Amino acid sequence: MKPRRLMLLGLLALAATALLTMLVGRYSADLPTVLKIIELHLFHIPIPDDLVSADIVVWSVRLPRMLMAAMVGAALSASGAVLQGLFRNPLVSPDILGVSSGASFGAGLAILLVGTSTLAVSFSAFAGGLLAVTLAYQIGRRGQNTITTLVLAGVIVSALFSAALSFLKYVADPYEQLPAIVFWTMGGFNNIDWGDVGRSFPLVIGGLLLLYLFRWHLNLLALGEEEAMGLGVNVKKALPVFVVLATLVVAASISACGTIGWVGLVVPHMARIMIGPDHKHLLPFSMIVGAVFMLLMDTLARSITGAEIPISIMTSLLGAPFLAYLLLREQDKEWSS
Amino acid sequence: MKALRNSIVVLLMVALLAVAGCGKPAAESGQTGPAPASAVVVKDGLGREVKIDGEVKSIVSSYGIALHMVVALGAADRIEAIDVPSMKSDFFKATIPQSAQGKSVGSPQELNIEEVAALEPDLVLVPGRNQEMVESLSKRGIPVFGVVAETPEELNSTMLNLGKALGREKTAREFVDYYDATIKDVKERLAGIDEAQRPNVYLVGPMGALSTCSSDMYQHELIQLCGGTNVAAQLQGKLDGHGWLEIPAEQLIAWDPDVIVVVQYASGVKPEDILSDNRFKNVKAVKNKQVYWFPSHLNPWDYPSPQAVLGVKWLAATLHPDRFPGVDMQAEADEFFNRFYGKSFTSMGGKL
Repeated sequence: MKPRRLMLLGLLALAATALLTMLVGRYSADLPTVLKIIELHLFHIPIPDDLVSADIVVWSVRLPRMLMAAMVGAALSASGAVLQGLFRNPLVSPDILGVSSGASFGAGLAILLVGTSTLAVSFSAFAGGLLAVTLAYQIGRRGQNTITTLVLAGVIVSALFSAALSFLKYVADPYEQLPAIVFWTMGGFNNIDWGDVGRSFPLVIGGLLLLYLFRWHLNLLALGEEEAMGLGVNVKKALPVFVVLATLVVAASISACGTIGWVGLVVPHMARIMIGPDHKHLLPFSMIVGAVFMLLMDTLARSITGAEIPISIMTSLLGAPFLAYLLLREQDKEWSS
Repeated sequence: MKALRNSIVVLLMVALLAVAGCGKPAAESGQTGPAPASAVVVKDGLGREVKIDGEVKSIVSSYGIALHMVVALGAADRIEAIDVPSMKSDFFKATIPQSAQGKSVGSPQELNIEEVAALEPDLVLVPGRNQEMVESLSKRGIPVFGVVAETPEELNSTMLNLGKALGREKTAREFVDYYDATIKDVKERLAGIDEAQRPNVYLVGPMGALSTCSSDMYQHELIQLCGGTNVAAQLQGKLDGHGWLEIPAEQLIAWDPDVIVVVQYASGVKPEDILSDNRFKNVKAVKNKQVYWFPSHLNPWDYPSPQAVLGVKWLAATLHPDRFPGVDMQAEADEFFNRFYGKSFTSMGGKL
């Protein structure tokens, strides 16, 4: 009963945060204006002249940005929760298999070779992320203890791609390319439009849905390979399915908005402290907490000053103390059963 | 096989140690050598005193802006090696000796000190903001000049000091006079405009449509000088050593600038992109088609280098056409390029 009520509470918080996101920002638009604009769009009524700017801000800037932030927050957190369970390691985050460093390298390469056009950069980032994980997986599946070698392979591949990215930065033009690479690796939702949302939506939402449907496998896998095998789970088959799905949602997310640190590591812990380690509840709750957390951080990042504050600064600046607070309050609860 | 491989590794290590051991005293000896009577001492952009022993015959530069200065001072033929990003510039292809174009010493951020030491240049030019590099070069006794030109005053003083170091004081003076005369002319023509007549200007920086210059940048000074108001004037601060900041899309809509200028080294964004971007369709500059490239594609006129003087005139004339009747920037650029770069702007393939 309690998890269900928490989940409901989370959904309510998500709705409230989403509404808040639509109202706050450098361009002032009040609640009646926002509601009016949404109403005009729902009924396909032409936008009156005095509302054109407000309409662009609410409908074309804030709404796609809000959807993307919520989606990416959910994807990073779900991926973190899955991988932490799978590898039975609280320090694992989606970066562990090299997705982020692979994607960053891909983005950097596209910026150097093609230019800063968003489509080429996000495609190359997506390809780089998948390539890194494929490499890590190919190296990691050799050997006896699949999980340990997999993590080790991830570390190797991450190091390789980070070094390659550093090399790209070294040869990059300091006036146009270097700032673009640095900005991409810091991540953010400033340039998100409906096109980006449309491109990422099927992969991210599809992946999250599949993870949600298979989540009961996770509890068994989290017991360890031998126990899971004993309980009838085909580890050799189930493990890659989860790894691929967790990678896919992350790669699709960061190809649109760049790498955003800390969320995938810390949000699953927040969710676990609140709802407990059972993946049946933990996975969907991680998605909700991740979406709310990312929405709040992004709203702060774009509203505190006239300039965008890189969102990774916000996520670690506020995420770390919040996690510490939760840990101190719930010291007696274990991170995993 | 294994023994052979091991012995090769050992040999390599010994060789490396030997090279490192020999390199040091050779480099240090330059520092303590007695100064000839003709030694000149100049101040670089960081306020350091740089001692120049005799004539500077070879120059190594890791900074595009410094290269522009050397070319303007008529000393392009002394350049021996340049930085990687500058190799891509059409302007440098047209002005710098062929031999130097193929020789790189790294980037403005990271200089290959060994490469520089091997060339034994009489003077090394690096960005002044890269303090670490200035220190590590001068520690090794390599004469290094930190170039800083973030304001018109710094541009002038750096040109004068560099001119002195290269024995081209006359050209440096000529440039400073030309620069001051242009600024004076622009100020006179714009005399008496009040705040209401200053258009709100948004400058698109190199990271895309939503990157712009904070008030800590030269480009901000430029807009104010040319009779405009930088809409981002309230923004301050530097990110990773440069003052380009990103703003939220809705902030640009809220600022509603009258004019938008796009730097040409912003490779991801063109004026057409901004004109056709749905998010900005209700912004005054877009509605009135007041979105321009900041010249030129040959070399940027908006960053602090000698040709910035052309950028001052261009921006002032663009923001206040009524005060600059009949100004032909292509002709002005030809005149400036002929005078300081030895070839006309048009003949190098220059377009605004």
